[in-house]
Amino acid sequence: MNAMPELNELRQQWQTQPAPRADAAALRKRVAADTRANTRTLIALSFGTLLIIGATVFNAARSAHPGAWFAVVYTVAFALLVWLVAMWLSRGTWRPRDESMAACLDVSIRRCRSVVLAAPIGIALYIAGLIGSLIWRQKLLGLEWQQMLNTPAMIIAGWIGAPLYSIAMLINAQLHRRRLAFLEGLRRQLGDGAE
Amino acid sequence: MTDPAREQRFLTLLNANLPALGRLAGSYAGSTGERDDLLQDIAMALWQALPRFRGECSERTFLFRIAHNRCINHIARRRPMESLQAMELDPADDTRPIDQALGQAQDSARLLGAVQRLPLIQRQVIVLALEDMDYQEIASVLGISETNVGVRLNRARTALKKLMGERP
Repeated sequence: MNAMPELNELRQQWQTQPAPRADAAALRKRVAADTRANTRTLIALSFGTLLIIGATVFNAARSAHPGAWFAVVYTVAFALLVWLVAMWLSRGTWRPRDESMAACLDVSIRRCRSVVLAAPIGIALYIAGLIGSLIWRQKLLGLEWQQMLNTPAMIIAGWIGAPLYSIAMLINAQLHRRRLAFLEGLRRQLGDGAE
Repeated sequence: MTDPAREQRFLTLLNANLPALGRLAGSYAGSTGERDDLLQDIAMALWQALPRFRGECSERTFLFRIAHNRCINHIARRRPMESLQAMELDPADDTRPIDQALGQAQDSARLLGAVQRLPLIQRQVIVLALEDMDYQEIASVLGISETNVGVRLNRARTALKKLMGERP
């Protein structure tokens, strides 16, 4: 059955629109490039985690202080915790269960909720990580609080990094809250195609 | 699906439907650049979804379903739509007299402008109807009933007439 034969004139007008500049081969090349970029990002994140752990192990191996190995345990445990929380936050957001619009909207909404929830959790983890590292240094290495709070690492990661990270996470969460409201409105508007 | 088979299927599907996908993307984009970016998103989504295609509908329906879903994601992300850029003529088509070509380009640009102003639920069905899809195919792409397609299409046609009439 042809949907509305009276639309024929409009169809003709519609189909005379200029074709896109890119051809299928060009699109395929960009898809391959984007796929490689996604893989590189994942590798970089994993490599970054391993690098931090490696550096801590290297330092512990060179240090004569028995408490230095606690840094390794602490860093590995904390990295594991961050990865576990990230995996928990991204559950159900990898891909839609099928190609339907309902599934697509559902996964988009889940992604937005996950980003909104990630903001307070991310900030809490960041601050907990900083405080935790200060506490074990103070307890096990016997460093002074005043001395630790003024180190270049603490100034960059703590006094500058923490507020910047928190602001960025909160702004991102706010943007996703708006997107979430839009998507939920869209799901209502689209009716039976999205339920 | 092996990669060469996936690649072949991807290229065949895109080659056969690229102009229609371009028009679909254009109805959700405010400029040709934005349309091309959206088309790239659609291509990426198709590449990722192809291994999951089990033949429960036609490949064209599957492709348009993916494309529509990407378009919805796109409108959830983008900034307010920019004003419609002037549509350029297709440089490859030099067989039409220039007056006719200009006239057709203006008509199609006017139609595109009107389609872009339709509410989303009407825009979705009219774009597919303009691509020669029947009620059953549209219903399958959008996951709605054929009755609903008919209702939305009627409303879309009325709204489109009104919008086209506003800008003679």
